[in-house]
Amino acid sequence: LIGAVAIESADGARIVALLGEQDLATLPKLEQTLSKALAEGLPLIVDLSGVTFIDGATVSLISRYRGEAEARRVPFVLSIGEVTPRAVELVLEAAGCLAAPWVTRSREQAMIRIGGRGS
Amino acid sequence: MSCGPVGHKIARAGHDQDRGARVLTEESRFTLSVEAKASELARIRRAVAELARELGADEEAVARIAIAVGEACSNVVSHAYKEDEAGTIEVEAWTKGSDVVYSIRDSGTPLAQRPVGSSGAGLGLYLIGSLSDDCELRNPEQGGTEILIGFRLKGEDRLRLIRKVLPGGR
Repeated sequence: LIGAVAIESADGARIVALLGEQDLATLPKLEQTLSKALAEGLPLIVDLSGVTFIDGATVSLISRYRGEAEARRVPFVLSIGEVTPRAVELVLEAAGCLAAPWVTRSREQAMIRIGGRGS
Repeated sequence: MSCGPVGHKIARAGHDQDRGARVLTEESRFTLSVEAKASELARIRRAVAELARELGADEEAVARIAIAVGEACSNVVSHAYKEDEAGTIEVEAWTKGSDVVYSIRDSGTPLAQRPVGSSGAGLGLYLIGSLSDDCELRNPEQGGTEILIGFRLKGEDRLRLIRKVLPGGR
C-alpha cells in the first residue's frame, strides 16, 4: 500500500492518520499536515494503526512535532494501534517510543489521554 | 554508530548448490540498481524482503532486513547526492553459510562528509547497527560509500535453510 496521510476531526481534536508505507516519499506531506494541524492549537493525535511500514525519518519527524506541541502546551498523543506490524514495532522500539508516556495503543485511549471523551 | 569492522564475517563467498531454494553465490548474486529517489525506497524494501524470504528467513528477520537496508538507502537519497545531481543506489546481496550480506553503495558524497542530525539520519544509522548482526562502512577507491550489512539467520531460519540446501533435508 502506497503511503498516505489524512487529517480528521473528532471531539475537538485533530487526528493525523497515517496509512500504508511511510518513508521519505511521504515525509513532505506528513510534515505539511503536522505543521498545519499544530498551528490550529487543538489537541493532536497521530494515528499509526493503518501503517504497514515506518522509517526512522518519519519517527524522528513525529518526535520533533511532539516536542513542538509540548513547547506550545498542545496535548499530543501517538496512537500506534492494537496490532502493530513487526517492522513498525521494531522501529518504534528502537526510537524509544513504545514505553513513552505520550504513546497509546488505541485511538480511544489517545482521546482519553488528551482529555476527550473517547469514542 | 555501532557498525564495526567485521570483514571476515562478510567477505564475499559463495554457497553450496541447493535443491530448489534460491541460494546466492559469487556468480549469482542479487543485484539491483535504482535511481536515488525517495519514490524507489518501497521497491527496494520489497525486493530485499522477497529475497530474504526466498533464503528462508522468518518474518522477524525479514522485517529487520527491510528496515536496515531501507535506512541505508534512505541515507543515500537524503545525503549522498546534491539536490540537482542524478545518482544511483546499487544494492547487492550474497550468502555465506546461513549469513546473508547486503551491500548498499553510492557514488556520491562520502558518508563521513554528509550532514548529520537531519531527516532522522541519527536514528537511521542506529537502526542499521541495532537490527543487523554485522555492519561495516567502506569508502570505495572510486568514491562514494558502501555499507555492508550482515544478518545471521538463526534458529528456525537456519534450520529452514539447511533443510532446503542439504540433499535429503526435511
